[in-house]
Amino acid sequence: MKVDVLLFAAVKDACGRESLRVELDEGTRVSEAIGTLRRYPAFTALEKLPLLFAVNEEFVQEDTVLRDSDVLAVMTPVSGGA
Amino acid sequence: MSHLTAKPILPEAFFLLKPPLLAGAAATFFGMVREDRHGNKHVVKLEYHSYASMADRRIRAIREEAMARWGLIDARILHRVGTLLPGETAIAVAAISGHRAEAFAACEEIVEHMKHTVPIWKKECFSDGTFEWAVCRHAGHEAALS
Repeated sequence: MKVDVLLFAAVKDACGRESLRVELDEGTRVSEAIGTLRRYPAFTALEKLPLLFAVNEEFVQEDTVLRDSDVLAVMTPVSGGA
Repeated sequence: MSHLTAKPILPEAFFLLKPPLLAGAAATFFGMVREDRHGNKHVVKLEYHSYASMADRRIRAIREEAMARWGLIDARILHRVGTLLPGETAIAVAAISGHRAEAFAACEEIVEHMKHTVPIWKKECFSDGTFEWAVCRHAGHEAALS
């Protein structure tokens, strides 16, 4: 299955890109998808940052199972407001 | 109408929005960019980045929850994105209700939820050319997932 991954803020800076499409096995969880990405040099920064995840624009836990065509957002804790 | 704007938020324009006639109270909050000092350097600008579509959805949900919880007549929420200078308004909230207690409580609650559960991040840019992503002390998995 294909999943679009969006990277935001410090994650985007650290990885040097804002999106990618990944091919994953059916039943892959968010944590497993992130684990797969971490094996690539460009994404080793994911190990050092505190991360939050959203799937299809809803915050989720990392044990959430991904589905085909999901949009997985990877971000650091939010810091809006003043 | 989006709750995010790249244009300056003008408090006077926000005040001029005519409240409904049933309104007895309007509590408003304006959050401004501070010229914070960090040792020998200070903040010269903030860059607000967002996951725009999700942020707008989250803000709509926060507004609807506050409207229902506090029995508000109206609620207005606007968050700036892009580059802001010290003194500029980053966020404006107005909670409009029949009486002041609900207006004050709702306004504070909306601001708290905005800070903790909306995918917006600020990058602090300093006078020495360095920058860092701001860390909200209270933001975390629990806050975002609650």
